[in-house]
Amino acid sequence: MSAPVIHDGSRLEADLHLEADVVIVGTGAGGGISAEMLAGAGLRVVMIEEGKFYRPEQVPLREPWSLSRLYREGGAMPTKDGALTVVQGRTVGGSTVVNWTSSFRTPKNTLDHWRSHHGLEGLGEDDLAPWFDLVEQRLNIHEWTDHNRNNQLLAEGAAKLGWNHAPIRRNVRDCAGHGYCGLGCPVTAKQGMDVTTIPEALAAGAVLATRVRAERLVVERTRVAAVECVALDERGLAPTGRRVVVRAPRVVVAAGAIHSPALLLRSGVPDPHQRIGKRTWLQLHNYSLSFVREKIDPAYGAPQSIYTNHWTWRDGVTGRAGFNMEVVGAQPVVSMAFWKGIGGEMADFARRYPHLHILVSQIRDGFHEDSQGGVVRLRKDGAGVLDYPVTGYILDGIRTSYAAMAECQFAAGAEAVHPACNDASWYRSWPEARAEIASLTLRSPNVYVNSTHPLGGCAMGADPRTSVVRADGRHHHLDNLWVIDGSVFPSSLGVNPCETIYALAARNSTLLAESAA
Amino acid sequence: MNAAPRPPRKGGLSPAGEEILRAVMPQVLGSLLPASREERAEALDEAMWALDDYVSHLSLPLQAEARMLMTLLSLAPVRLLLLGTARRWRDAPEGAVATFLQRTRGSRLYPVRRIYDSLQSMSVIAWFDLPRAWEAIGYPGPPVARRFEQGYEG
Repeated sequence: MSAPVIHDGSRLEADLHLEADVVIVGTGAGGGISAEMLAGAGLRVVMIEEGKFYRPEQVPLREPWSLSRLYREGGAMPTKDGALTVVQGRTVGGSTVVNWTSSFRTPKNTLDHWRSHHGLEGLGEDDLAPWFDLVEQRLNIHEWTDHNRNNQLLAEGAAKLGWNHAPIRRNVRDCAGHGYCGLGCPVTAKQGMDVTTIPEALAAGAVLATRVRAERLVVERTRVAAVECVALDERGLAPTGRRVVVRAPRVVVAAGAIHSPALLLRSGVPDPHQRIGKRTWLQLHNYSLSFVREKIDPAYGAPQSIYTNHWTWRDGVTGRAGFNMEVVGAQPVVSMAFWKGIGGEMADFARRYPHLHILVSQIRDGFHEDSQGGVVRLRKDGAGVLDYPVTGYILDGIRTSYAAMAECQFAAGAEAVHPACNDASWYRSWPEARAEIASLTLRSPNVYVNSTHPLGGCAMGADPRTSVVRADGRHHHLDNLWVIDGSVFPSSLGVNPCETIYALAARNSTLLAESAA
Repeated sequence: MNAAPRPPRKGGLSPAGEEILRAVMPQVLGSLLPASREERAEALDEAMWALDDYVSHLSLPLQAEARMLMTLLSLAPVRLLLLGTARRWRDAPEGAVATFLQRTRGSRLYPVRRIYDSLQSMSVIAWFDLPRAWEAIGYPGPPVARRFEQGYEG
């Protein structure tokens, strides 16, 4: 077997022209799975990736190093008004390199909603089951049983309150439970795209170009004729002046939410109903801090292994904002970022770090008519930026989830609870928390919310007036363009999204390969 | 054993930004910083290196935004308004910096609250990156040894 072909854009000495059967823009959950499936089907594949290819032994296990090299914008890409930040990977393997491995099949409620409200056929629970089976086997997705104290506390709180809760499945192999998922797994236990599908695609003859940013799809009548890219410098910030042009009869855009729609917008892809970039979802993450008497060392052990969906669908699928609940277990920089105090307050907080128990609620968006999500716009330099208004619908979800998380933390034995909000204070009991949260001022940026789950913006749907691609990922107006990533979801999911992206990518890249045969 | 010298700075943190953060960090982190003058200066040197490295990997527009904020905060009228003194950040009394932080934190104006948010966040990132910060907060560090004590290339 010949050595893998990887072009490092930062070292290109001349422009690069590549030809392939299919070009894939992005190497995250969607692009990574697609690359393996398409290369495995015998197609010549070129992968374009803005990030760099880091090997596990290069990761120094220091948070700012990982945040600045493996994530976009230091792990804190601001939305348009700066009220909150989006966390996305930017490296070979995308967010699958730095996610916490929490793997869920798409909830039936979500898939049923997609059929009834977005006309999506062929994506029911039974239709997708074989694709879930496939990716679960490929990425060794299995139930985790070795729960750290941080996760056990969520189980204990939920049990006391009679809330449904269950173990989370994780895509790991021989995981030692170090707890450093968010920094890039130091021991290749995490089955991210960087250690699974991408090496496999390379072995099957696929070509990878790193530190290369897709600038524009060249649209000729009803087809994409080429993908025009720029090579980036060592840090991936400024173009070096070298260009990379890929010609292929099939183009897969898999740059993730925000960046897939931004690429389509920059390219002037036909969009007669102005759907590109609309209805972008965040499953906004809202946090509650608590201290427990025992030492739980939240930095160590599988970061997320228990969840509760007691609140996710409580008011019906199209009702008030629902949310699932999980724990946050992280190293000091990320953990301390939830506390916006100063001086003595900051020092006292930090010194109790081994006792810090944080819960996160992910507020599902896109099911209720008052929940239209955000809109991707282009910055002056052409980069995508998300305009996501924190509406009354979301604020209701924030307030309700602050209360629910506090109730759960007190039930689990917390001595004190503090919503991750500058305008809150420490509450000593559940009745006090309930009363205070009911009248808490909710304003930006004092309410600390963010999202690691940007989704949507290139919605799939049966009707071109309300969507960008069809159920198989193919663009409504351009014959040889597919979008295969989390940007195609017509709503958020109500669970962590990686496994849904894997399964849909496996399905749609297989359909693509069949159409190419 | 002599520590290896840190690699050169990467131009992420502007001189104005450094001056402000050196004044702000002790107020944000309180007694977490070493008490002795020399140790504190050394710790802040390390923190500035860490922050420079972090900022130097942000996109150029975000880096420019950060620089603009620091330049704005350095202007004499802005100092007078927010800090309550016309002195430079490096000479501002500690009490004035602490009051500045409390005021911006609770301001009625969204852009002013964002100033607090940015300065507080940068202080936290810079400080808790440093192994010297970990003992005080009961974090034993990564379980897998890595040789990157004095900063990174690239």
